[in-house]
Amino acid sequence: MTHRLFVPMIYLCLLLFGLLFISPIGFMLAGSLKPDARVLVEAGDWRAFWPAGVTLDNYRDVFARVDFARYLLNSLFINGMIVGAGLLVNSLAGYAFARLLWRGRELLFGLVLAVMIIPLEAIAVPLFYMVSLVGWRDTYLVQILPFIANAFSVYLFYTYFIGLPRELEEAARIDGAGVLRTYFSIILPNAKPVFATVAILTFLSQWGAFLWPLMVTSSETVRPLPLAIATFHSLPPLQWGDILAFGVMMVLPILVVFLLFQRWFVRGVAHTGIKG
Amino acid sequence: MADVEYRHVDKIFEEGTKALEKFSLAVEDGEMMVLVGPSGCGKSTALRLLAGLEAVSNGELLIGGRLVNECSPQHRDIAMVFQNYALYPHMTVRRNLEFPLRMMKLSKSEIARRVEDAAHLLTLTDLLEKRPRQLSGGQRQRVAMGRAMVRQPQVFLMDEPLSNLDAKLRTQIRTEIIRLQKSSGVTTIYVTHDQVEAMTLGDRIAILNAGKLQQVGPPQELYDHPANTFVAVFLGNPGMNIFDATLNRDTGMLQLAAGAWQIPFEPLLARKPSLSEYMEGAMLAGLRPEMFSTSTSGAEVTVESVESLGHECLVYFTASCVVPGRDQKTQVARLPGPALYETGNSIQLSFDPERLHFFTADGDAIA
Amino acid sequence: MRQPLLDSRNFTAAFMSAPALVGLLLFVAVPFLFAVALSFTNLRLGSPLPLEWMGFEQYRRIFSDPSFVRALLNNLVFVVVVVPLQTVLALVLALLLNRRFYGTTWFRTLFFMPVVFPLSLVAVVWVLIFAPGPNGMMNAFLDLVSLGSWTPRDFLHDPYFALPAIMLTSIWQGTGFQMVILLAGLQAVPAELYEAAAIDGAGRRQQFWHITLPQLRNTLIFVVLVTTILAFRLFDQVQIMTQGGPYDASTTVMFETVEAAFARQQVARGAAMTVILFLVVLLITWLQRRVARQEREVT
Repeated sequence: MTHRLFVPMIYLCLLLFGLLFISPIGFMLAGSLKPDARVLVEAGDWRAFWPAGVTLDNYRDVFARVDFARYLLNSLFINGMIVGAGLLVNSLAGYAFARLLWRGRELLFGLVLAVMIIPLEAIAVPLFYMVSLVGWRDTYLVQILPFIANAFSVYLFYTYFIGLPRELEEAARIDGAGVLRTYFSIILPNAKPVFATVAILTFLSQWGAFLWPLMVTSSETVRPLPLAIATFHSLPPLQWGDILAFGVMMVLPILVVFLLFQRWFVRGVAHTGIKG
Repeated sequence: MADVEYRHVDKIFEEGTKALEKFSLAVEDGEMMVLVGPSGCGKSTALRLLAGLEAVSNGELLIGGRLVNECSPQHRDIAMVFQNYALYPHMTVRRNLEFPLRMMKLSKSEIARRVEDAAHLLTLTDLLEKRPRQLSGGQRQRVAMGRAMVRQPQVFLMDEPLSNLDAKLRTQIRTEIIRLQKSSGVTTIYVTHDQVEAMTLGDRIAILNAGKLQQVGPPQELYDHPANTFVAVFLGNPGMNIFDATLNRDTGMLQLAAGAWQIPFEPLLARKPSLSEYMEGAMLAGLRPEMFSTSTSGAEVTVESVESLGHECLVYFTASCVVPGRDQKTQVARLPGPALYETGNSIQLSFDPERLHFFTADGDAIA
Repeated sequence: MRQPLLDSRNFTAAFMSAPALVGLLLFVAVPFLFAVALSFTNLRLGSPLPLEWMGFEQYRRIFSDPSFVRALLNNLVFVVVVVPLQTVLALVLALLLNRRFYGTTWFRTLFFMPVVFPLSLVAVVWVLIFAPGPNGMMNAFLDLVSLGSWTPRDFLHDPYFALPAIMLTSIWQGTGFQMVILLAGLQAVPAELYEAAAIDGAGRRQQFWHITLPQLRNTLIFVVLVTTILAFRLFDQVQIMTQGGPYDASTTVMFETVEAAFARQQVARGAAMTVILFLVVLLITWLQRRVARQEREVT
């Protein structure tokens, strides 16, 4: 082993891969800041990554052509509701499975594990048919409600709670706290990591939701960002600068959140690999 | 304050393990009762049953004469100190102490008063705003005690509260616990696996083995009059030596350890007439290690190993035991003075026959 | 399961678990059973024909539909190409980053960044990257690395390049996710194993084959499983980049399903397709369990 060259070699490899990985992002950012006409023309050389003569025209255009703020708020609202309600609902269920003794516990937990492997895609058509029958199409509700209960989240909470020291709950019971009181006063404050993990995983999987909104929404007023950029992309005239500006604005909020809470994101994702 | 009673309590776990069998024990009001035994003997289960953390399978539990089988933990008027303290990590010491009082829905001023009192009593006042992880082991232990005390319960339950502390601190807090218990006069049930702790703490000790109560009584009484070989071997450090014993009618001798010691049994019979029932039969005799002395008239044994403690030494030797099912073959003598003995040497050991304890072949003491 | 807390708490437990259980039942279990039931009918929205039980007729029709067969094949090709490529790439990156020297956190951030990009945005950006003509970024890049021997193509409208273009897009977006999981797996390998191996005289390469890979086995199996399932669920990029074309060259099972159920209102047919998708997922999961179980028996 040539130890002297080992580290420089690793750096070189990382740098090479890093350039390949970052170039689409750099291209997007640079393209969003230059006049429309030059985006395609300059895509073939180094100028693709260099916005000479920076302009915010594209960003202004986006707001002039579509109601970007509306889409953003839609996305934030829908995801906020899914994550928030999901944390409550799934953690309560996870706790009931992990710590309470009740009739049907084993059977129902088996069911939760079973539905864990059914992907949305496998039920999209009948689900769509069902919500059409009750007239839920084109609402916020239809984009939120089906995704609150999540078998994988329940499972993650379950595995976390079962690993918590039981003495804390026993102490709380002797101190006179009931199950719900124990849950909210004792368990919740000591389970921040699993809540962060589930929040991030839910957010990551829902923020890009495309198939379901495509199926159930038709009006602009309730559509989320991922669908909006696809529509914007096919909206004539085709102006790449505007599209890239749209993209940058769309990814910016989550990118900021990601950079701020990076440690939690990485830990959360790494968690998916730890399964039974 | 209240007395506590277990009446023929069984605990059988879901998977079928019998943790406690026909357990009966009466703890008097204001008493410090120590439950002691090897791990898995059921002592913790007994405590958890009383706390209401496990349900009784059969039998009755009474606190202050009131049947509490169906009573939830918070209505049993008890407080518990856990082995690892179970302090709420996200709360300050003050909040930890307040929590049980808030659950009792006491007035703000009453809560503040009780917390101040407990903090003062346990010298926690300076620590009230800290979180458990900022505290040392001994401080955490005191907070756990405090959280139990603020409730002013009828009974304290303590589940090996000192086992996470180092030896020196353990002795110190042991004295503290005795002081607090005596001054408050609250009935206390204390679980430990450490017989030294049991001997020093308990007004009375209850010794358990394999889910069954072996003997209850004041420490000295248990030490002096063990009800069976288990108690005899369990108490004392090291425990009692057990030999096989036979009363030989022809020679008039009590033969110990396959005849290593031969002692005229007439004086023994005079003191303990019931022994005559075991003439020529299988029997066991026990002798505490400190009862041995070296003398030229004793039986000759070979030293197997020596542990010197400075002021005294423990001499291990093998004496054969012909009773089946007794695995304790290595015996030990506690001899005063520095270790003058070496492995492989022969020494002669004798003892005062009056100090012998007698048991049936099954291990029960002969009255 | 471990021993639960003492008393039976049917009511509290029902109260706590009901919202999640009802949700899973209503929005997962029931639609799933519904999908199975629908797949045996002829349901078509707006159709004048009466609802009929058709048995396996839908399945027979689906498998004699060249577009669907092509879609299934495309998914398979996607799996065969993307899963190994992406896993190896993720493993290489994880190995490169699994050491403590300056900059590893930065690189980890960089490789993970595409994961937070919504797939639809990724697809749109890559449509631009795959722009036809010598000025297109991908064309120009290939021209550069092939030293000028590359003929510019219209990737997304080329029967041979449409699917590979989507594959590349997916690899760019998904590698970071796998990398992080593998990195966690690598960091879980006890350092003593490497120390012991080094003392036993194993070089870096031997350590990789005899320590790293076996220790990482379960993580790798998991990563492969997840990527394979994701590959069969492929839809967003197809919808945005190629619309399945040209001539079904890049169509997928999910794209065909949406086409059938929405563009042509053939709900029953779409349902049958999703049932097939589910069976594939089930098969993959079962395979993974088997492989993982074997491993447990060995150790």
